[in-house]
Amino acid sequence: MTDWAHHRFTANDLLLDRQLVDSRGMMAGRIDDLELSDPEPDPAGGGSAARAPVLTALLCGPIAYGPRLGGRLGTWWAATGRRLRGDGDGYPCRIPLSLVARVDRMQVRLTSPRELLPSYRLRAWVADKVIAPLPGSGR
Amino acid sequence: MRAAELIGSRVVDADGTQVGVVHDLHFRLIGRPDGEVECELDMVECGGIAVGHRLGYGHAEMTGPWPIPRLFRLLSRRSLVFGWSDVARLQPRLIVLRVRRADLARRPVRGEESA
Repeated sequence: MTDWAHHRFTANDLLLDRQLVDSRGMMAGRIDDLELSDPEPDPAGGGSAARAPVLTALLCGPIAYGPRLGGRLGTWWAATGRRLRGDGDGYPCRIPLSLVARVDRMQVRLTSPRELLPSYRLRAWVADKVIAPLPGSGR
Repeated sequence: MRAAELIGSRVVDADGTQVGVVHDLHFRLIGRPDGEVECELDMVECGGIAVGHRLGYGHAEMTGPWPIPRLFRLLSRRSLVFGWSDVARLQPRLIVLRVRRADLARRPVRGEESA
């Protein structure tokens, strides 16, 4: 279960742009957007939602950050992220709340090592395909 | 739904009057019957100027450099909040409320929020 530092908080205060730290204390990315459950329709048919959305996951990477930037720059940023991702999936890297150990003002600590996170895939690819073949890289 | 779909959206009230632009989402923790804790969207904060919130000056957590926190906090006092039950419908980049702007509450200050 996630340990939250505060009972009430805002997205800007505690979540957005916070550093993700994995189970070994290594940097694992940054929170660029939040995934909320879809609003449930109003049973009275008023066009509103009966139940407020709940937070379901943290999103990170350029596909998540693009819409927050907005405009042409945001579109371009998200498109670059989709191109780098390579699998054609247009949804951002998703970290479900079940992987979050603690949330405080400084950082968000995860229960998993960063190598197992989808947000680490590009960095792992660069390490294997670009850095490792360089002379003197240590391999 | 993503937070970026809400943040930055225009808000209009039941009469079509502009309320502002969403610049923050307020969450609260609620316990479920099975013992799990859910993080529910409690209120949506909107107003005219969002840059202070993006920089972390909307509430009391940023303390310097003088006089920037004071300036942004004065500006954010005009922010209004509404609950999810006040939302009549969601459209792309637009939130239509079922209440009037005059009925919306001011943003709670930190001491009142946690009480």
